Amino acid sequence: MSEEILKALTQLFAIITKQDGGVTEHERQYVINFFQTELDKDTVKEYLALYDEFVGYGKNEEEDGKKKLTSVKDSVRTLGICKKINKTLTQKQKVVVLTKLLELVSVDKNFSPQRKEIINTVSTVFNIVEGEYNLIESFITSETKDTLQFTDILVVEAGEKDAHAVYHHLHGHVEGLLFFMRVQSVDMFFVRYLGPEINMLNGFPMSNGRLYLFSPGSTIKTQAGNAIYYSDTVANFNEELKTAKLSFNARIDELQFPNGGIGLRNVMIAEGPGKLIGIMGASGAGKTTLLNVLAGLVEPTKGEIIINGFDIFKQKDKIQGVIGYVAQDDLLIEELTVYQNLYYNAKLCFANFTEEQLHQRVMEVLENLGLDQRKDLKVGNPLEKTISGGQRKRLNIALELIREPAVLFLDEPTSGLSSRDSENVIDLLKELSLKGKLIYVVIHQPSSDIYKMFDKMIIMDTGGYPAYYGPPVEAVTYFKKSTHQVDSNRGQCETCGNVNPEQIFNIIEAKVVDEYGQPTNKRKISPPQWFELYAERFKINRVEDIKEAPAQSLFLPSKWKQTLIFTTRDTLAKLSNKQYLLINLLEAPLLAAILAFIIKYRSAPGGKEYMFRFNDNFPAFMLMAIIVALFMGLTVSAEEIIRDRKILKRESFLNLSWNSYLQSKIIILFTMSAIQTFSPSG
Amino acid sequence: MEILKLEGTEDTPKIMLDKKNGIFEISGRSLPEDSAEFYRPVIEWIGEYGKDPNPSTEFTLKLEYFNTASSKLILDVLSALEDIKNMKIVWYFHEDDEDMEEAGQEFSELVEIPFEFKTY
Repeated sequence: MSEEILKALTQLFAIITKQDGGVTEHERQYVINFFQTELDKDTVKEYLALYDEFVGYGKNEEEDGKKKLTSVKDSVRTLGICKKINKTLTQKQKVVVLTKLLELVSVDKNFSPQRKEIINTVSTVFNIVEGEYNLIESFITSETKDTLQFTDILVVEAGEKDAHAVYHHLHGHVEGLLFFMRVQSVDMFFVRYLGPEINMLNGFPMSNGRLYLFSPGSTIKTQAGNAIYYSDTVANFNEELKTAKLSFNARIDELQFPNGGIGLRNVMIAEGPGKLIGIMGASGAGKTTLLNVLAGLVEPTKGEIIINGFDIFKQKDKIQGVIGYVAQDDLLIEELTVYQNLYYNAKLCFANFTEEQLHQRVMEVLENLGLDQRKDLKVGNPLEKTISGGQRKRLNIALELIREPAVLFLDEPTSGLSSRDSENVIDLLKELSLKGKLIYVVIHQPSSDIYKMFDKMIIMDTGGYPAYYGPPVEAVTYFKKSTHQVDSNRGQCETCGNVNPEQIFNIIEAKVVDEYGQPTNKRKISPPQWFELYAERFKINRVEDIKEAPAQSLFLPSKWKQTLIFTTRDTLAKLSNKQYLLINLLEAPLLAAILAFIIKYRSAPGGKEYMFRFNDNFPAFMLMAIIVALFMGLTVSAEEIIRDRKILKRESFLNLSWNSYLQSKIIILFTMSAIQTFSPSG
Repeated sequence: MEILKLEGTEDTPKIMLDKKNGIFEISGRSLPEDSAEFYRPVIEWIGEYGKDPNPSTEFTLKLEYFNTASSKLILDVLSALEDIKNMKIVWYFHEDDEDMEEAGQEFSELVEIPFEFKTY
C-alpha cells in the first residue's frame, strides 16, 4: 500500500471516529492493529501520531451539551480522500476499505448517525451500489440472522432452513452464527462467526465477530468437524448451477496398453455438474491417458464411463455432442484467419443456424476469449507468428467452447503460456464451470493462484495409480500428514495464502537417502503404497445417475453439406496461401516449357519450322507429361492429408463424415490437377 | 429556460436558478433526508443550461451548513458546472466560520473552476 493511500485512510479513520463522542480505546486499538498489518513498528508510531492529531485524541473537547454535527470541512475533506482513493485503488480494494470502516465503528457498536452518514457517502463516492452497501453494512453490524435478509448471504446452521428466510442456507454443525456474504460487483466473499466455538479458517482460529475475506481455495473447519470449502460455498450462491443436470461416473479398473503395459489402475471418479477438476501427476503417471479414457477416446480394458446413465462407449449415439475435447496440439488451419477457423468449425456443428446466428455465435465466443480484435488475422504457423501463443491456445479452446459441451476435457491448455495468459485461460474455464459445465484439465506446474481455483484435484502416481482425489489445498495437508510433517495442518502460507503444489510431488517422489547422505533412485513410498493410503482414506461414492438425457449441442449438417463446407474451407485456405498457389500452378507450365525446349525437334518435311504433329518425340513427351502429372498430384495430396490428420482426428471425434472429407479433397485435388495438366498445353 | 426556485427550510437550502436574469444561487442550510433526490432537479437544470449557457456565469454558494451527504451532491453540482465555459464560483462564508472557508478551499481543489471567496 502506498504512503499516500495509507495517509488517506488514516485521515478517513480519524474523521469517522471523531464524530459522536470521539474515538474510544477499542476503536483506537483497531486502528493500531490495522497499521501493524501494513507497517513496521517505527512507521506504526508515525502514523498513529498522525491519526491522533487528526482525531483530536487526548484533547479535551468542550462539553456544550449540543449534539455536534460533522464539520463541513471534514465532509469535503472526506470527498477529497475518496476521490484520491478512486484514482488509485481497484474496486476490490475499495470494497475492502469500506469493510474496514464499517468494522471500525462496529468495534464498540458506536454506529451513530453522523458516522453512518459519512460511511454511506464514502460508499457512494466509491461507486458502490446502494443495495450492496446495505448488504455489507448489515453483514458487518448484525448480531442475529434476522437482520440478514439478503439473497447474497449464506448462513450455516444445524437446523432446518427458515421458510421465510431470504438468505441461502447450508447445513452444518455450528453453535452460534457462521455466515458468508457475496459481494457480486467484485466477486468477493467474506465470512463472519459469532459464537463461543473455535472454528478454523485456513488453519487459523477465527476471532468472534471479526470479518474475514474468504478467498478461492479457502476452507473452514468447524469445531464439530465439518469442513466448508470455498467451491461448495460459491456453488450454494449460484442459481444457474442448480438447474444443470449431469452425472459423471467413471470406474477404470484397468487400462492395458497395446504393448501390454498397464496404464491406469483402480481409478474411480464421480462428479456432478459445475466443477473444475484438475489432473496432475508425475511424468509417466498417466495423466493424458486418464483424460483420453474419460473423454471416450480410449476404452478401458476393464471398466466403464457413465454419463447420465449412458455408457459412453456402448451408447455413443446417446451422448453425441455432450463431450468436448481440446488436445494439446494445435488444430488450426494456418492459412485461414481467426474468424474463418471458428466460422467453418461452427458451420460444421450447427447445421440448424442461419448465417446471421452463426456470425453472432462466432463473435460472442471470440469476444469472451478476447480474440475479437484479432479476428481477421491469419493464424499462421507457430514459427511465423501473427497471433501470440496464448491467442492460439485460446482459439483452440474456442473451437470446442462454441458448442458449450456439458463435459469438457483439456490437455495442458496452459503449457507454454505466460502466467497472465494461463490465468486468463483458467479463469475462463472457471466461469464455464460456474455455468454448470463439468471440466477436466490436465495441468502441469500450476501457479499457486491457478492451483487454488480448481474444485478438486486428481493426483496420479507413476504407473497409473491414483494418489489423491479431493480439494486442492487439502492435498498439501494430506501428503504432509501422511509423512508426519510438523506443520501438516497448514495447507497454505499464513500471510500470503500461497500454496506450493511442488511440495506435493516432493513428498510423493521423495527418495531414500543412502548411508553417505546421497539420495538414491529408490523412492521412500512407492506408487502402490501411496495407493493403499489413498484407498483407505478416500471412499469415492458414485453420484446418482441423472435419468435425463444430457444437453446436446451438436447438429451435424448432412453429408452433402459437409462436403460443400470442407471444399469451401479448403479452397479458401489454398487461395490465401500464395506460396502454395504459385508453386503448384506454375510448376506445370514451367516444367512443360523446359521440357519442350529440350526435346523440341525440328522435323518438318522440307520445312524449317517446328511442327508438333511431326515430332517423333511426341510419345516420349506424353509419357513424361503423365509421370510429371502423377508426381505433382501425389505430392500435393500427400502433403494435404498428412497435414490435416490431426484435424481429422478431432473431426472424427465429432462424428463428422470421413467420406465427405475425402470427397472434398478429391474435388479440390482433381481441379488442381486439371489446371496443372492443361496449363502446360496452353 | 424555466426558473428553478425553491424556498429554503430548516433542513433544505434556498435554490434560485434564473438564466434570464443571471441569478444562480444556493444558500442556507443543507441537511435533506435524501440529498440525491433533493439535488436531482438542480443538476438536471444545470445540464439543460449547459446546452445554451450565458456568455459568462457566476454561481453563488452561500451556505451556513451542509452535511456529508449534501457535500457529495454539491460536488456533483460543481462537476456539472465544470463543463460550462466562463464559469466562476463565488463562495461565501461567515467571517468567523473558518470551517466553511476551508471547505470552500477543499472544493476548489477538487474541480477546475475559478473560485472567488467572499465574507458576509
